[in-house]
Amino acid sequence: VLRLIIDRLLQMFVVLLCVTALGFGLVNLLQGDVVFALLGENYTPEAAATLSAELGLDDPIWLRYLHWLADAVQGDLGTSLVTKESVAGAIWGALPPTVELLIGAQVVGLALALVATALAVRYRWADRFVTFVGLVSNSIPSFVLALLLIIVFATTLRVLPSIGWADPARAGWGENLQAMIMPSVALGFSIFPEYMRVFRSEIQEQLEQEEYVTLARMKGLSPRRVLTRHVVLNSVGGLLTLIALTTGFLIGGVVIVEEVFSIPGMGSLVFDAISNRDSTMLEGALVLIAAGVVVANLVGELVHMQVDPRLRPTARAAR
Amino acid sequence: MSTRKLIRRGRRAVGAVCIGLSLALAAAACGAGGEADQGSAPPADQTIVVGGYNYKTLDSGAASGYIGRSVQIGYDIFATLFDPPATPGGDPVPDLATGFSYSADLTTLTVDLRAGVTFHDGTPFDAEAVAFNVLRYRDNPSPASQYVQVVKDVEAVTPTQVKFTFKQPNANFISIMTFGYGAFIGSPTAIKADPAAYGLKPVGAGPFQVSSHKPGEELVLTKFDKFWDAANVTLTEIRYITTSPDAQVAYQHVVSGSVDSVQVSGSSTPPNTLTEADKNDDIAFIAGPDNSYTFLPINTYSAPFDNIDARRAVNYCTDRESIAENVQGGWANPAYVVAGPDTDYYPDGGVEGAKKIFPYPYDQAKGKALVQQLGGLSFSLINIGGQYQVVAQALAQQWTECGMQVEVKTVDGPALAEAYANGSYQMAYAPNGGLRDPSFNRTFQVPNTPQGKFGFAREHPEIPALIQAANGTSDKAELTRIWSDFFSQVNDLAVSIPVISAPNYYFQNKCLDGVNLGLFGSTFRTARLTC
Repeated sequence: VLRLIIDRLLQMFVVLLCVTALGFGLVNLLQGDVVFALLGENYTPEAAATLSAELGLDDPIWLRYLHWLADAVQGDLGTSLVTKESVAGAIWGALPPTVELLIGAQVVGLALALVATALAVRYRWADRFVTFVGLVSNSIPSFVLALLLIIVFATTLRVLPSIGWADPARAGWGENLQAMIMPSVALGFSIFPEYMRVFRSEIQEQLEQEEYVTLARMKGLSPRRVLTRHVVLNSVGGLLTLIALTTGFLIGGVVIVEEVFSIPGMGSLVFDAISNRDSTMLEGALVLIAAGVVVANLVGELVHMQVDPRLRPTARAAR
Repeated sequence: MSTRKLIRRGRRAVGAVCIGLSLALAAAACGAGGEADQGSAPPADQTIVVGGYNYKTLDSGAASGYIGRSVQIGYDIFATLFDPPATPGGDPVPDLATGFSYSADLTTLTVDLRAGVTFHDGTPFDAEAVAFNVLRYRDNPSPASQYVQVVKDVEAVTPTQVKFTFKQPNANFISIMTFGYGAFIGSPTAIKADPAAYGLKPVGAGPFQVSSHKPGEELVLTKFDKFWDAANVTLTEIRYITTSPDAQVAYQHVVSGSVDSVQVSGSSTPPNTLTEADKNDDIAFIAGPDNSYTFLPINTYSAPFDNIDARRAVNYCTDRESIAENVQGGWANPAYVVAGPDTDYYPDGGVEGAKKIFPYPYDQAKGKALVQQLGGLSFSLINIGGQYQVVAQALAQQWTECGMQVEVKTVDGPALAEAYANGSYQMAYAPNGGLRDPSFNRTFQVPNTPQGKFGFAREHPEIPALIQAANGTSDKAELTRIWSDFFSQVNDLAVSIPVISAPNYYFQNKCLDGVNLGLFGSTFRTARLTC
């Protein structure tokens, strides 16, 4: 397990290097650099020259990247080219809303998947219905769903606020959780069909094909015991891996959901950084997001191993 | 059998989840119910939430990062020496100053400041502070700089009297001290201490002070109890939060009660959202003055628009009324001059009057003939997307009917700025204007376009002199004549082609009263919650 962790951390280092180099390159190759973003209509060659020198943009891109990398390795993510605030500070401020949103979305996605799986197993019509809902979920853009939720629950019923973030330090946790319900649903709705499909097929596969199920039944274990103690546990493994994998996918959706619900999170931070060509802010955010995705995958893998002993390195070696 | 048990468990799981969701929604409903209640008595808590943008700096003297939308917030943070006249053509209303007088030759202006005024940091607001700020604006590149270049010197005569000396006669400077950018006087102590920090938390002498500012998240202003007119300031807190630029989302925030006020531009908002807001009796839907316009910045320094016939063809083939009525749903007006109908010195007779003097009335036949004469006309039209893209496509359709070939492209803000600066664009569709006094719209071009850089110098060498002439007189009849001449001459060579004009529209909480909409946008010094 330790070796696996070391392997993954080494991989993470390579991933971070690639992601940051790519991000730095792309944001600097876009038409209109940070100088144009900052000066806008007040652009003059003289003002541009002064600002470029002030921001240290006169060096070639690769050299600027290496400078940034050297500082980042020492834990200094620099300051925003646009607002002059500390990148680490801005990320620290943007992280809680996004983490909360991701957790909320996963909870919603899992809850919907569990309910849908239970219904699908019980009723034939429900099987078709949840499959249909899954298709709808895959087809409806997050932006539209978010707006629909606002219109129904915030505007018409007035049971939830349309702003998706209330700082718990200011508004309290009750208001905070209340504000996070719709964004979590908007984001979680996009992942539940995948969870449902995997969970349902895993359960069916285990029940129908695995020898240990037959053995357990032959030993006289009750169907409930077979299901809860063995089948569900073995089926959950695939779901855990999927949760880890989905984290990366969800971060893409976070940008849209955060914008609609005015959540000042990582998605907004990245979007603004790209819009403003703020390469230092983008790099800081990418480091965190890439590391987060790799760590999430690692944790998923470790938990899966814990749940399913067959996946442990020792078991693999024995085979 | 096992499936039955599984089903039973499934039912329990479904039940548990349903109960959980119901409880969450019920709790949410209980928590949020108060939002919808609107009692009759004014609430003790005079706090409002305003949907806004991501402000990078609030210092108009910063070299970069200041956006036009920050100006309206500046009025609440800094106040100004004078407030705009109550009626068009009237005298400025004293605010941080109490009076002014020009010398007979209009080369000096003496302003009397209000005594006993302090900045939010407790330092005195005096003549030295005014001089420091104006000279800072003048001597350092910033968005405010262009407005105070006329200042030769500023002298603090006494702590409450400041004297401006101009390079040329200038009757317009009192307006500059009234409207935005160069009008904001900040605490010299705070500016000198840390200019970057001052940009995020500026220290003024206005009715509200910056309590906190997290760029990209929120800006909180709280009432400044030592403001000279604090007795007439009712709101205790204004919380600006960054909301989606999408107008429909902004509208829904206001309808839901999460946000009290949002401003959208009439020229960049889908008309269905405005129509929906207009029909909704649960919110206030207000139009500001129609001072803004959209136009076609054209690169006359390269083909095909270095030929005036190409620009004339575009003009003849542009059906502005159709754009205003069919594309903008009637929420905009056709623009026949580079101004909105509520702008001072707008041609007599309003929009119809402007149409009558427009040299290129919609005439497809004339446009087609010019295109044929040119041997065809092919160009690209760039814009920043959203509703600008919708209008750009409609324009392209109109022009295609005249035989032109138009490629419509969306770019983002920095890319548009670069295209302007390096001249790689042929035509763009963009907004301009926003203030009642046309002299504030400086070049009537995007400043960093070829025309903007040279102030129409090549095509219109007479324009800078006209603007200077307008600055050099306070005679209303003379100003009307000068601006009429200006509008006609700009139209003549079709360097700047106006398309539509539209006001800003405001979606507001019905209980929010007294908001000032006459400046760059909504300001809240006189606002109050009535229920």
